[in-house]
Amino acid sequence: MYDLLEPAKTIQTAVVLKAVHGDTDAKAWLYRQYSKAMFNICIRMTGSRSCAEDVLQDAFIQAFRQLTQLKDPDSFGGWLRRIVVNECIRHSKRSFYWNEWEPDQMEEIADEAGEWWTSLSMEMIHEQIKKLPEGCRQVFVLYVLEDFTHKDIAADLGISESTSKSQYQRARQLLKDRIGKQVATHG
Amino acid sequence: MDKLKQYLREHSSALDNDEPGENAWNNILRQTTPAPAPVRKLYTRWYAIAAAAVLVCLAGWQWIMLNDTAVTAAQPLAWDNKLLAPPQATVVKTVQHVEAVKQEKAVTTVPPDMTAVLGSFSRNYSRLVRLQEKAIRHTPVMAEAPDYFEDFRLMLRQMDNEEILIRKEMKKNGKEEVLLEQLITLYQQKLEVLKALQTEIGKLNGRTKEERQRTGTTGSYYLNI
Repeated sequence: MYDLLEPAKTIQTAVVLKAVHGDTDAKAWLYRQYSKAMFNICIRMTGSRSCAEDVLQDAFIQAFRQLTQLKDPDSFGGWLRRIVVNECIRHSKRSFYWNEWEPDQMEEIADEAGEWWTSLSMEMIHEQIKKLPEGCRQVFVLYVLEDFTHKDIAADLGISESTSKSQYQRARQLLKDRIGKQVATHG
Repeated sequence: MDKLKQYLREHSSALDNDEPGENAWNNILRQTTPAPAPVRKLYTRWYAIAAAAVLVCLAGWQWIMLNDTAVTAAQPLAWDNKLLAPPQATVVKTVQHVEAVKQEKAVTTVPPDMTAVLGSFSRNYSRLVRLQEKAIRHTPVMAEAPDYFEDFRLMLRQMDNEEILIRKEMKKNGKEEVLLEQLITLYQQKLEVLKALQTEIGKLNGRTKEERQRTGTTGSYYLNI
């Protein structure tokens, strides 16, 4: 599968090197290549368009200012993604206070036999992810889409590992319930 | 890996439906592009013109003084008799003298008074800074404690102190161009800080607005800068 985060390596290397030297067109090229993917990470993590744009801008500004620290130009995409995720986590810590859940409050949900998500459009799933409550939304995005472990999530968000797991289960249940209602209402 | 996670990761690119607004790139570009160098070349050119004009005037004056002395020494009797017209050579010299004076006046008035120009710039910048400060003082801040903006306040206070020092220097040594240029640069930096502060307030208010729609909380305060 063509990985959108890693376009043609030789062009990217040349562009990143030009951007390091302050070339505005090179920076614009990098922005056009990665802004959409990074923006969607931000909007899923923050749940709000205006916050997502703020975090996106802060992340790109930081990336362009620290570009000289990037050792391998070909890994610009992954490097930028880490900056974006870190900025999203920083933002969530500033704007949200975690209430610790009881670890056994949400039992782990076994994989449903029906796999209710396969018949849904990704657009609908994306919309419902954005509407998840603060806390469980960040855990869901970090665990599912950014492939963090519960241990890493706990360390970065300042919560316990059991809280991370229970928040993930909560997010899954909410997604299922809400999407189910939406399908029942609108078809 | 649970199946939901596996499914979503396999189709993650299809989740990317949103795009940032056009202003996002403009804001990034503005903050990562270095500020243009201050306009100094213009002053250098005017200094060169002014220096050349002064040299021309000095040379012209020297030439006139030398010739006037020669004429007066050569024709004393003719000037004493008012019924006789002055000699032709003297008339020519007098006309040349008048022309030289006219030229001197024309040359000395070509370069503008840089002190007055810079003084006018600094007054306009000062007005802009006051307007921006007033705008921020009248902007309600909906979230975060006032301490959140302490860094901005410290920076502005430092700049106020620098302005006081420059003005003291001006009182002592007069409105020198170097001091006026320093003052203008300081005002430009202050405007940048005030703009950044206003942007930060705008971002916070935007975030808080959405939160308040959910929780129904109210209340705001005003920054005293």
